[in-house]
Amino acid sequence: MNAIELKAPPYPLDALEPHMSKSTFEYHWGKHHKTYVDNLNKQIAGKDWENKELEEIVLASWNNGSPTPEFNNAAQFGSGWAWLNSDKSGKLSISKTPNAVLPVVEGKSPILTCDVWEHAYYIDYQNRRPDFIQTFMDKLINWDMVSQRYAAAQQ
Amino acid sequence: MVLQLIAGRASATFLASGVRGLATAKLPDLTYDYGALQPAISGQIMELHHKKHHQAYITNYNAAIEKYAEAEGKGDVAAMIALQGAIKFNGGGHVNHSIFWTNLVPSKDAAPASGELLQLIEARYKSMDAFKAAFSAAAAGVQGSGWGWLGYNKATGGVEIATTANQDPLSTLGLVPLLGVDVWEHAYYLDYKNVRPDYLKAIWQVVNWKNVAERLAAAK
Repeated sequence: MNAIELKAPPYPLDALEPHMSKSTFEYHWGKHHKTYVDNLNKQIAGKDWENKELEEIVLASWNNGSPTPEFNNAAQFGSGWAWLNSDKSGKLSISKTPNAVLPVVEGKSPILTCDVWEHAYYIDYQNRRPDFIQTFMDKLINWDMVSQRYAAAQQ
Repeated sequence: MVLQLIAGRASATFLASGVRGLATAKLPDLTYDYGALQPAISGQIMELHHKKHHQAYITNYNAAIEKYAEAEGKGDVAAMIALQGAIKFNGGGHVNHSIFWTNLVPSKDAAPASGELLQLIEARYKSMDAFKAAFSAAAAGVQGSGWGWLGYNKATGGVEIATTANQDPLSTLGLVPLLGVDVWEHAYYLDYKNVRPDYLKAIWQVVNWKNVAERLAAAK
């Protein structure tokens, strides 16, 4: 059986302190993300999708705008995400997805994202989403990864 | 002049302004201390929720209607349409939270549902326990941010459970709000983290059934 895997972040859970606490990671990755992965694996068990890559599952379950139940767990549905995308020619665009769409279903390649569900920042910033976003922009972005994704988007 | 509005008549506090007749929103006072709903909801959450989140909806709603009035005065339809999202979101936030505060009461002052309200709930859900289970399940199932509601259906004369996304008020579903439970993460995260079902179990300790009954009476 080829289940979707919850990968660990490429750094210890306290590595982004004080900007993003270990506690936030324990809940955000350890509970929220894990729940999406567990629920998706339960949904795809015994079906064709069991052996597909995550992106294929997202696109198939998006079902041209009438998402099937698997889409929610595959596509990180919710309060919202902000995206920096690149098209094949290297042209950049910013988009946001409230409660539904991933840029990938619009044919875009995301190279940077910020989770703005309240659970992503509430323990550390409570209601102060702008402070969270500012800290994210100033201190937390892995620009090496963004560059790698930017290059890959143009392949 | 402050228009302090009665449960059921209208659902939020507005300050009628002489200038241009714009009724701006105002933060209503709670009738209990921030800490009075413990342990169901902490004082820390109540204070953040009321003073910061609800206040932000009010501030942003007032800014939006100010801009809307300006655009309307100029006949700038594109600008008016562009502002409608902000008015729906922030105005809805003000309406919904204003109802929410009155739907809650310290547990020592809480009394169970009775009379016509209880009759209508039992007619639809067989028992109070069954209703609570159905309501909690619906509210737990809201994907992302939103609200769980008990609403009154004027057409059928009955009550029903419904959910809305983001800050959409229950009026968008054609129902009169009697009881609303906020399931945005800010409503419970500091106390319950990701375990929304535990919040939905605990909140029954602080539901103000008297207020819910008043809203039903006003709706009929």
